[in-house]
Amino acid sequence: MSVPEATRLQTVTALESTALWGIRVLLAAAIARALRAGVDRLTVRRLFLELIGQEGDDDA
Amino acid sequence: MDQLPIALSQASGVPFYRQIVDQIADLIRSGQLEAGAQLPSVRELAAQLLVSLITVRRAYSDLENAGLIVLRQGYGTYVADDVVAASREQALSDARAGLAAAIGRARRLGLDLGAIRTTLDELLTSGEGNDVSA
Repeated sequence: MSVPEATRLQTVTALESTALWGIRVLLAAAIARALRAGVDRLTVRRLFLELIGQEGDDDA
Repeated sequence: MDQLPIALSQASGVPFYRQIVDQIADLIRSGQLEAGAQLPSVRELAAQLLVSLITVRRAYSDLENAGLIVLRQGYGTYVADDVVAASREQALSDARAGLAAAIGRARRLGLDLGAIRTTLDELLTSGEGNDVSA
């Protein structure tokens, strides 16, 4: 792998990592609010799976 | 009537009416405001919070539409009797909206939804989400 390609991959990985962290913060806030409002963890997970189109996926 | 423990923040960027809705809904869900409890009038709450009558009317209207409060003409505003069911629906709706916002952003960024799902499972398992202020 050339040096520029390695650098590019490192940059892409870093950007993805930063974006993923931002999503993690959003999810954590949504979960915290749901739990405070009395929604249980299983329901939160079910809602999430419905939203990403994986209804009925219950392998975890 | 006692004042409601509501504090508005201009710095939050959240509209005042929305902050009022969220905080009254939290008071109801937590049991601090019980079914049948009377709320301050629009005028009283506006004076307490130093906001316009329109802002409080909008908040009360949203809470009424959510089934959390009822407006009884000539009598006042009360926490709904069937508040538990309404509160549950509102909580699910809020949870769905919060998750949808995160998923929407992940999709716009082109992130792998499998990784997002793994993150969600980590948060749910670790209890990390319990400590984050929403």
